[in-house]
Amino acid sequence: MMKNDQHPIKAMLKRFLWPALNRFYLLRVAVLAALAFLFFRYICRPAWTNGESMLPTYQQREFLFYWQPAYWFSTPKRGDVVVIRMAGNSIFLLKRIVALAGETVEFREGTLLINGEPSQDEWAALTPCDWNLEPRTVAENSVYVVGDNRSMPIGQHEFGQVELRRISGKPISFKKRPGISAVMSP
Amino acid sequence: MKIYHKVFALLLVAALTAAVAYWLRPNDTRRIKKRFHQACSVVSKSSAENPAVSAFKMFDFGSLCADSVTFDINGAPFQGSMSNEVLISELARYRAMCEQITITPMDIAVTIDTPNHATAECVVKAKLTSTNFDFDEVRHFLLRLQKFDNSWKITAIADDQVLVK
Repeated sequence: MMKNDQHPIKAMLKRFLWPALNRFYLLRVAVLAALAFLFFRYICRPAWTNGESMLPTYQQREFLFYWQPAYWFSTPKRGDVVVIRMAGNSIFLLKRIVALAGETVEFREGTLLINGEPSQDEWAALTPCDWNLEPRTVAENSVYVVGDNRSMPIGQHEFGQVELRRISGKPISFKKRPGISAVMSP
Repeated sequence: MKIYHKVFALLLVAALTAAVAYWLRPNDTRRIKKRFHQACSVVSKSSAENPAVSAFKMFDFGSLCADSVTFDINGAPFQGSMSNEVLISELARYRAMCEQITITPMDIAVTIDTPNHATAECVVKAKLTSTNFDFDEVRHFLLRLQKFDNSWKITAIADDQVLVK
């Protein structure tokens, strides 16, 4: 009995598990490696969070992927958690957009005010906060970002206006997080 | 046929070597990154650093900077445009006040503006320990560099706030 006469599924499984190391197989591996590199380098980048400014939405040392094409064809919205480029390709900031260009942002006794009105969004008060910040208007082509953990002193928290060109993408979330309605985002 | 194969293999190896050499050549961006790492290393200070090492490090730092340097870092004890010698002396004085300084380079993005001028956006983790204060922060700043005699020198160090409160 010839080898080729074995059951087609078994043969397929065998070919999958023990492929012949011919040039087509090596070519497939090379193409797959190149595609994986391009995908995880320019489309969906893996990252670790380091810091407590996004607690309780994102934990310290949490592994996540962020989706770089998120804002290729759209603009960021208020409430979006975004990845902000600092310099190079190694260090990024993870913050939430609280105000868009032209809006006025203010903190009064820990309450976030947008255009003078208290924000009613779920993400606006995830932690106890006693911050006070004078009103300021967000410049053109910029957004105002703040971390979700506002229980830390205002001086220790890195937040503020950032140019849109620095927004590099949006983290992909596979689980329900405070202030993020979708189970999977984007 | 055998000679043809050998020549072909030799040419292939030569082409690959040339490509790798070209790819890994010390271009301006790499040189500037190296300057940045050197600067971080010489400014850093261990708690057991002796004065001779400090003096050598300051001499090294001087060689990384141009004759005139503009220093504009928020919260730094010295500011403004100053000569290389003044900057070294101010930095040496400041280093002496600190028990330990750890400047860890985290990221850099280099832009070559003209063949002789470049700007580098840098991110460092700065940790300073002194008897009076402790400082541990990630700082983002701009380095401006100019090429003198085929060597990149720092002409300005300035804060660059990504987030403006």
